[in-house]
Amino acid sequence: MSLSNGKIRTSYYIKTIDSIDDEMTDFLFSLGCYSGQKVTIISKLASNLIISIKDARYSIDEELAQAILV
Amino acid sequence: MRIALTGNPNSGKTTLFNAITGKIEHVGNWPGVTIEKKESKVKQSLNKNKEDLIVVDLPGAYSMSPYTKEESITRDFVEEEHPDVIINIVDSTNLSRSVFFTSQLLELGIPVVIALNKSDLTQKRKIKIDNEMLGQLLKCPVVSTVSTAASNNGLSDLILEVIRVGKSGERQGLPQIGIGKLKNRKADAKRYEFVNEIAERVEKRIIDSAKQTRQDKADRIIAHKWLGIPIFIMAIWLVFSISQAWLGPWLAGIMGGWIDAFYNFIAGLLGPEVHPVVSNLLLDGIIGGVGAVLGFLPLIMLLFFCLALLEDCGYMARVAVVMDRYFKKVGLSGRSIIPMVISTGCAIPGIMACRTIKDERQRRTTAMLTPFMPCGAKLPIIALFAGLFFGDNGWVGTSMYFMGIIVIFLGALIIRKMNGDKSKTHFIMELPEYRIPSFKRASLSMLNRAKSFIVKAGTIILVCNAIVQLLQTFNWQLLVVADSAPQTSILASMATPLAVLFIPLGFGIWQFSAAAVTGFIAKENVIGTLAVCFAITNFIDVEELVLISGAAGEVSAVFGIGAVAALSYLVFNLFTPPCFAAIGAMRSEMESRKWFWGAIGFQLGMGYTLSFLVYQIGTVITTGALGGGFVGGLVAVVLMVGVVSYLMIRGSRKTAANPVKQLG
Amino acid sequence: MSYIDYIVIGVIAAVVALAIIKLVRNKRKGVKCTGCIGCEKDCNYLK
Repeated sequence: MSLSNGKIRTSYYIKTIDSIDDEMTDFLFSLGCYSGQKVTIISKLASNLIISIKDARYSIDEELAQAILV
Repeated sequence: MRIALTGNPNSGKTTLFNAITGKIEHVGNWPGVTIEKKESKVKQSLNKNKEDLIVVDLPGAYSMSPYTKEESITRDFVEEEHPDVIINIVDSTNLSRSVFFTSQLLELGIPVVIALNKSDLTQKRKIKIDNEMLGQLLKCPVVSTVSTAASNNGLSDLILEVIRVGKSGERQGLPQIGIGKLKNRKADAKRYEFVNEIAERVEKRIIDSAKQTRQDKADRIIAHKWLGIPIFIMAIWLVFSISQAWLGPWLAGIMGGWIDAFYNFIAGLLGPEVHPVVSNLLLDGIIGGVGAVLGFLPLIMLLFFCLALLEDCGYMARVAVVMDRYFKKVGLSGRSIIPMVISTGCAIPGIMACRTIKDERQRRTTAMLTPFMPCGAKLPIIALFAGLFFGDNGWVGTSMYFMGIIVIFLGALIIRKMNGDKSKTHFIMELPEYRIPSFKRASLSMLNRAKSFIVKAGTIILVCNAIVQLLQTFNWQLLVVADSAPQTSILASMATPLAVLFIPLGFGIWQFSAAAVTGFIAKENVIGTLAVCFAITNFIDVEELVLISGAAGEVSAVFGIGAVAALSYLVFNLFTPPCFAAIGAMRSEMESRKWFWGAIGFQLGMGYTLSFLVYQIGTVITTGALGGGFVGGLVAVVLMVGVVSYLMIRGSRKTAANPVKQLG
Repeated sequence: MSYIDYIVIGVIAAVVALAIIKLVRNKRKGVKCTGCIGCEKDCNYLK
């Protein structure tokens, strides 16, 4: 399922990053967001998710959340 | 010795740079890219032996990925300029991500010294990092630093280490990452394996970073889709009230008093024998013109102080999150708010910041709309009219900014309709920790800005005012213009035809059109030129503060326009194209003549239309009748709206004909 | 025009000349704007 359907305060392991362009995927990689890594949903603010990857917090939008499959 | 400073964004790099170098800064240009390259000497207190040490601040990056322009600056710099040492500043609260970049830096063949920054935070959070083991695994020295602390901050150790490494000339060993022949994603994955391993061995955490903290709970409100907006409005209102309604004008009054005293002093020195043309040039043209602008210095300083505090505490990233939702509706993303926030300082770095927006249409749209956020140079204009006609009300400034935001949304919608929206944006923004903003940094920023402002006033504004004064003193026969016939001066005769265009806007007087034109050289010139044309020394007079506000005031009577026309003039100056320098930045960002001229046209049209609407509607509301030149102005506005509508319709037909293609 | 006029004109000319020299120097250094160096901060928001 995609991260956008996840529950808050729960950790997931990424299966794959789907349907985005290479640049974004590489960028996510450099943040530690790629297959096999852990991502935790901290909160959901309407269509934006606040997630934690490797000790840092990021805000991502709906499209990105849908593209991260866990 | 040249030292490159690099690291992840939000790692405290700038603070470290400032701490190492003190206040001396030389601004240069990157070859091929116009992003500021900051270079400076290490300050004396850290450099006891007076070695030749220059630190270069490279843009923050998460990796050396060759795909993004900004990050390739690091690679280019290393390849072309061969620094002797690299200081890699690493956020010690985030080893597991930061070391990814570090590992890439280590492969460049240049000695690296790691500054493990924010060590005070790791202590607070009871995270233990084994510096020695880290250094052993990465095969480079590691120094703990606290860039925000004034003393006991590890900086002298850092510099000592840097000097030692730089001088010894030994090659550092390469850490065993084990990538071998792997490429791209596989190589990156292997690299992260290495990074994960290091983090595990070197770091001991007690608290899980993925647990919700107090800050996260605060973010639920601050970055909330509804609540976030009034909070943002409050923040901006506070900033402007402090700088424009409460503290600002009071300080400016004092400053105005000094300028007045200086004026009188010089006037006394000159005495009666001086030829009136000459004395006017010096007193009214130069001292008066520059003085009128300088009078606003306290307001600008306070504004920048407050903005720096706001940015320093980490709130701005949350603003981007709140606005993302609304920006999506007009075809942009939350990323676009960043250039706009920067623009409230100066539109030029704001426009350059659009570089980070990947989608071409979004980038150009943002670059075109960003100047609608009032910049620091426009602040005196806002302050002047707010003070003169609206009793220094803090709401005038605030409403101009919100008008800017509304105009930006409108503009984005229009442009999207004209060009179609084929982009699939993915918005991701790092949310740094909230922290208590540093008053020291804010003060530094404020003083820096004050210095620039004074320099600008003493150079370009001074020259412009002198020229304006001369042009309005002489007529075309190079004879002095009679007091009774000011409209025969060179300036007036050039500006009057132009002023005809402004009649429908309420300010069809040559002084105002002249001021608006000089505004393209520098927006502060609008104030300067008005001061010179109306022979006013300063707009913020201590005793006459009461007199000045309101229609019965001396200054507003001299101007000859009422409150409505003043508001319309303010709107005009705020929403026309920015100063030439900013226009130049826009041009290089657009990379297309069509877009560039379209942008100029759009901005001109917007300024004219908005000003027209404000004046005519305002006049109807206050007097019940239409303002002069209504029909002419209406025709112009209808024409402009017509052109835009045509382009919009044509654009949406084109989009309907070509279905949206999915990206990748 | 008395001698004071010439002094004042001289002063004005000197001030203006200084201003122009500073402007030209700034242009050479590559300062991209007419003095509003509001970009001394490294924008942490640029990625």
